[in-house]
Amino acid sequence: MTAKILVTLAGLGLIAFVNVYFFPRKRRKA
Amino acid sequence: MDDKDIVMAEKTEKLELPVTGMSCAGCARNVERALKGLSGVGEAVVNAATARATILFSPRLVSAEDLVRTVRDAGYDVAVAKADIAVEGIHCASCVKRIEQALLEKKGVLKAAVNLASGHVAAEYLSTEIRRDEIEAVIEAAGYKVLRIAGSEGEEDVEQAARRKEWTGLRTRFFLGLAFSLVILAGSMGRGLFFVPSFLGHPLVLWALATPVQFWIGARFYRGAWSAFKHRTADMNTLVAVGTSAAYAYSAAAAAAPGLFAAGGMRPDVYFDTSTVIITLILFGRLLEARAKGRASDAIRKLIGLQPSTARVRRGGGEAEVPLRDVVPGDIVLVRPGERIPVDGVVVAGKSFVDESMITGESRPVLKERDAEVIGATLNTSGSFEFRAVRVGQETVLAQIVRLVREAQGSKAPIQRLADVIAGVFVPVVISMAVLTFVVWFDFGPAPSLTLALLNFVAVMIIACPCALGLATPTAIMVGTGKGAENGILIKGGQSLETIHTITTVVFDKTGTLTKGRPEVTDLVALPSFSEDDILRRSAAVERKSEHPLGLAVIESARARGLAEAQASEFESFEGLGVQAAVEGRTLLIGNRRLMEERGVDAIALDAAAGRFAAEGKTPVFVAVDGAPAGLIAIADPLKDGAAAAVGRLRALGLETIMLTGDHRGTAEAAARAAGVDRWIPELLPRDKVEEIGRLQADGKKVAMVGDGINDAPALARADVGIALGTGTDVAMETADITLMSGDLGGVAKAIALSRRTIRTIKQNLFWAFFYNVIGIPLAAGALIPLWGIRLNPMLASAAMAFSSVSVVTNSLRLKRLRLKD
Repeated sequence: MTAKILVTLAGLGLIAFVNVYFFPRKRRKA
Repeated sequence: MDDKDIVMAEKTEKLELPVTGMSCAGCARNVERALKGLSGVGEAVVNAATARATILFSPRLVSAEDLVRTVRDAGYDVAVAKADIAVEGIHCASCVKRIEQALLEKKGVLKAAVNLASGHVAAEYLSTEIRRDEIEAVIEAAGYKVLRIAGSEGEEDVEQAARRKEWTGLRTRFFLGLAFSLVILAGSMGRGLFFVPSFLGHPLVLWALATPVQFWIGARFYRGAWSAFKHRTADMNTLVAVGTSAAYAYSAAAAAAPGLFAAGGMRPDVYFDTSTVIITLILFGRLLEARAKGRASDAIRKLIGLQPSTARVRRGGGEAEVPLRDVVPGDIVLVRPGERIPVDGVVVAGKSFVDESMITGESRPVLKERDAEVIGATLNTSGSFEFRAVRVGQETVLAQIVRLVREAQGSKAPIQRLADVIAGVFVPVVISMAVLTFVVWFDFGPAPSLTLALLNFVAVMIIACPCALGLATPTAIMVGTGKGAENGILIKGGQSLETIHTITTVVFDKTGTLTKGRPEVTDLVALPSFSEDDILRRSAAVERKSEHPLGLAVIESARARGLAEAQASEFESFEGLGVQAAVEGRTLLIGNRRLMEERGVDAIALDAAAGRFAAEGKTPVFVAVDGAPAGLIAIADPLKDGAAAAVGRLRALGLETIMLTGDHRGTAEAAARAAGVDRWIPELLPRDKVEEIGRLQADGKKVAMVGDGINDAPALARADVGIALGTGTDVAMETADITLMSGDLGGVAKAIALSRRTIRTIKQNLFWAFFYNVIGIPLAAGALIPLWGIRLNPMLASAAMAFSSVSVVTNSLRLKRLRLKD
């Protein structure tokens, strides 16, 4: 059970990271 | 809290500006005051002796560029260094952004512009803060290779060699990839075919074959993906690297440890054909694009080639043939008939007509006599003369045009490729879905949950990689450019085809573009007791003796009317006025109004007509017979057939049409009215044309420039789409993105129609490229297993790949059926 919770959290964290990383809210002005 | 405190409280930066033009201590105080007056500047100390301004400022509130501008506004200047760096490996719009951002983050870099087409980085920087080699290091740190050149000479050659190397490298890799892919395809799918040895199908053999494709032939995708990742973007490289790596790793695991898969109740399938075919197909797309790109720097090479390599110079009492770089200002240069003029200067002796059309676009050879300026690279016609060299090397008009072309190419905004934009969204979404698949299988799936979760995770990544993506743009562009060629529209590179449908403004050059670029007799006026034909026939006889370019128009016109040739004798020429000769026993005087006055001919009867012609932008030529006025010949550079119709069609498409010309107001106005353009601007130099286009672009307009001369080259390069005429100069054609072979301006509207269709096809292609993969994702995620027990297998993966590739190619080929209306 612990493993499942950990994997779920890690997975959601990874998805969140990927989306935040690749879609930054504000693009820095060049 | 005032500014100073804010600055103190924030992160500050120190900058040294090399200020020029300060001649006194008071000047230093002025600069200091101006800088301190800027919000965001904490401290400014200006030392007049060292000509340095040391500034403490908050980069959040004020930029280095603002500081430079402030100094300039105060009436002084800042010595800004410029670097033009050739870089290898720039192949997409995101590379451009990446390099520009990396450079602009560096202290001391004011401006950075990357030219995607020529692979040049133009940077403006403060030499007090950063050196050129440091700038080059920044570019290299961003993952690109700087092409270092010893001198400026041979620069183009070095570049050319490097590009050729890139292209041949790409070609070699593609063909090797193709060979490997065919063998792997045969091994994976050809089981049972008589010519496929059975050992080829062994997973370990396939693994051995796929490895060099993955890591050597496909190395560029990993490099590209990594540099994209560092800049928080995902592009096609990312998609290809992630997708093929997943397929490769999955298959390698299946080949090395099939038992692991069996434990999960799955067949240890290998997908080596997927990874290799994808890499090969996308390389093929890159190869198609590279072929078009390599030609961008040809224009500059052609321009430089216009200059003769040697000059005949008077040295030490004699004549000497010296290399061009040894000519110094003040040298007396000799020019013989038919030779090109080596450098810019002023005529000191002799006279001749010089064809300056390659520089000015003016088709008429220009008379050069004492004190007239001559331009390097223009062509001397029949006379010979001597001139004093005034501007040599980088100072000449030609060198300036070269610089303008290069700068204009550098300032061109690259368009973001459609495929990269989609990939940028697609990649994170696919990774998210794959992770979700993993979590769901791990949490709710049957045992062994870790194995199944992992396998389905990878399956999603494999199916998501759209191999047809690499074909979507290049195939459409290839068919589109082929279609263009059929219609006499040569399109260089795919970018212009992707851009031209967004054009809002079409700018035309006048001479040779809207007009025929060759003087013609447009009107004839004969006073009573003379006939038009007679005036023309006799005038032609006189003009045959003269070398005047306007005379050619008269001879041509007489020939066109089928008039019999007459003989002229006692020919006499009056410089700058006209000519006189006897024809069939009568004396003809041909020339301008002043000649008539000087020879005592009362030409009042012709003045009204002459005034009318002049107002229409035509040159009136007076003809007198035996001292009495006889008639007028009007000569002009007439509008091309169909020019007005072509302009009308563009206007009907809702485009703004503008004419830019170096000609005088009167001539310009007449042509502009006849062509029916919305606006026209006369008396422009090549530099002015570029600036005018820049102004239009600054207003948010997308500009197409249509031109034919060398003087148009910078403007052609600067415009979003440059369109040259096949009847014009080589340099214009090399600089332009599109060439209308026949010189028919109707091609502009056709090119726009073609571009619209091609873009539509590319969009459809992208849809088909992604469609099969998107419907494959739930399949790969295992969503269909509980229902029908269907899961991803190599057959399905290959089928999706084949279907999407075939759909894309077929769809591109449909473009072939397109008919472009006249």
